[in-house]
Amino acid sequence: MKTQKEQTIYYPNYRLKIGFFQTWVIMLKNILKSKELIIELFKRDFFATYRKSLIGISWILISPIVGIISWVLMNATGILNPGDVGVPYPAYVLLGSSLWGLFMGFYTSASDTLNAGIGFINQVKYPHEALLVKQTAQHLANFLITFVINIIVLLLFSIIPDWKIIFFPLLVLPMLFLAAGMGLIISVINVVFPDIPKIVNVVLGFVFYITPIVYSTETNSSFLNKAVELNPLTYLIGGVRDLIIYGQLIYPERFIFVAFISFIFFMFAWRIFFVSEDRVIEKMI
Amino acid sequence: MNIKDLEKDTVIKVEDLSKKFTKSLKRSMYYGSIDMARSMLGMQYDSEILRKGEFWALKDISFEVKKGETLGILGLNGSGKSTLLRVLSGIFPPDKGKITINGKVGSLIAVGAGFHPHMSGRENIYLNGVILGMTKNEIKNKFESIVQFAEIDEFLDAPVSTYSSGMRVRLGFAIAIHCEPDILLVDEILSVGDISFRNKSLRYMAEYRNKAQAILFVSHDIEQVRSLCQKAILIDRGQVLHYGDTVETIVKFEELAREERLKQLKRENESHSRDFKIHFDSDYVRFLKIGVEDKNGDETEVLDLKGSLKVVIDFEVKEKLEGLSINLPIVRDDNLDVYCINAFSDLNIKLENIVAGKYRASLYMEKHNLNPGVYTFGTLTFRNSKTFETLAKIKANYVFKVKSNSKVMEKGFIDVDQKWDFIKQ
Repeated sequence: MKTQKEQTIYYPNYRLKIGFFQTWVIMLKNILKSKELIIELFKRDFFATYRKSLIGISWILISPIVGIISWVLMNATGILNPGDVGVPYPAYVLLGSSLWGLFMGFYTSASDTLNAGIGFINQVKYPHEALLVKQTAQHLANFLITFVINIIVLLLFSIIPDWKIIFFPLLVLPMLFLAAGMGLIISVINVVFPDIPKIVNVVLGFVFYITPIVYSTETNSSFLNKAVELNPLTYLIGGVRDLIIYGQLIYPERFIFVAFISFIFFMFAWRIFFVSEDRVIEKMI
Repeated sequence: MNIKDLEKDTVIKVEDLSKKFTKSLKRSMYYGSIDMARSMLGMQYDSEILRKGEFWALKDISFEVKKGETLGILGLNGSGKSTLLRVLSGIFPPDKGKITINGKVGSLIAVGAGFHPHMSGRENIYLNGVILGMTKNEIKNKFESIVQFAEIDEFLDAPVSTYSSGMRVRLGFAIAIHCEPDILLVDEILSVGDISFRNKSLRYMAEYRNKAQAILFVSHDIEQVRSLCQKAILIDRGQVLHYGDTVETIVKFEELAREERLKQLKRENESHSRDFKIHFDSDYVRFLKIGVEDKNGDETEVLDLKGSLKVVIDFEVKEKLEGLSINLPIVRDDNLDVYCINAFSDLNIKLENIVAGKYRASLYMEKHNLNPGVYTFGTLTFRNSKTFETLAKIKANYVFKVKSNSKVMEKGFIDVDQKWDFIKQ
């Protein structure tokens, strides 16, 4: 015989008996092992969706362009009067809202992790972590297209992004961790208790307004100021925007603190996903 | 536990495996939430106790598959066969017991999982292949062979949505079997495609047995199980009813299927308002009752193979008849007329000049010659044997079964005594 074959043992609660740190090793290994699966699923969901449409993949460009046009128009009509933000307002809002979109996209795609495998998740055994990566990659691809357009618009408003923009990928990581962590947990909850994700979505709609995206951080309401100050997204989203526009982080210590907490949270969420997902797979009918 | 704990040639060992499900959807979601919350908090979940509304989909299943073995899994619909395969392949976690598996498991549970209808056959081969755990290189190497097996070469670049259902299944099957896992779990899959494809798949399976460490094979096709498996396990309502030699298990399975069929036919009869349907009674003859009796004269619904049959028919003659004939077909549950019993056949009895009154006609056959199966009576007909006028017609809803008491499979529906000579010339 060749080398010793792999041995698998299943018993009740076996995932709970796997050590806390072991979880991350296993899940990272699984992701590396299934990189081809991730690529194929990505191709399926990113490209094949547009197969039937006339203009095909160009649809990806259309929605961000329409979004930008509407912001520019609204600004031109003077409906929005935000106070001084130091740069042309449309550019400020555009960047902020596309970063918010990035955060929400990370969250939604992560919360669809288990759903993305519907149809074969209870037919074939494969690491479901792969689905998270595929979901996130798919969203990133969408975002990148929007982002490039955004940068072009910034240039049109003659805002030259600071050279520190090269740190952009690093700075969105905490946002990704927070969103993916929330999404992973919600993805499991969604199978058995679909009411909770709906509530979370409503709450997130509210959070949008206590994040300085369509207004600047200095407002007249002390309540709003407090809410904005306590909202981690103020630092995660605002931080990235400020870096691009002003070339600096306004609250570097707070950014680093929130980023660290987000990372820890993600690690916990990952473990929570790992121990609870197999309990809900059988309910995915 | 390490590998030494298993005997060297054991590939799969299942010990007291149980799995529970919930009947109602709302409750299932509720329990799901609780179990999920417990797991999230790191608390173990009491999987061994049944909560309200739960039932054991699998209960205390134990078996062992040795290297080179093919195990057939038999059972009626809903007995837990597919659940067992899902637990074995690691999709569902067990609630009790333990499973030890040595080797890479691949399953043919659902073919074409994850197919995208707008993608071409070619692209779907790669997609489905990686979902099933192959690497891209492996798929590339086996690509020609997959296409050839699926017989789809001219449609390779057409989207899968344009394929016929047969083509889709063939493609899915071809991809799945090219994974070549050590342990193959097959669920009811060789019944796909047309006859020639089915035969090809069967031939492939038979060959693959030599390569694989073990194959677990769920099928309703008894012939397939018999030709492929050395051992079989019979599951009923989640429990092992029999485990051992294939033919023995098949005989038990067929008996179980007959039992179920008998119950089902009886239920159908009960749901009718009367236990027989009279096409018509005439002024001459009125039907009263029909039954099958055992040796002691008690009504029965179970006959022994190679045993006797006693049929009792009660009726009333209202006016004097110059001649009477009684005719009753015996029908298998699939509506096949097996033979007809009639009062003509016995030449010792002359049913002539019958005066009015109640009568009992009983037929006794030393050997009923019926093979194991579920049988009913066809339409009972009373005729005037002189004028051939029909006097009464009744469809009696009486079901009985012939049970198997041998360890061999009986084929056909008639059991005949055979005497052979074997002489060298």
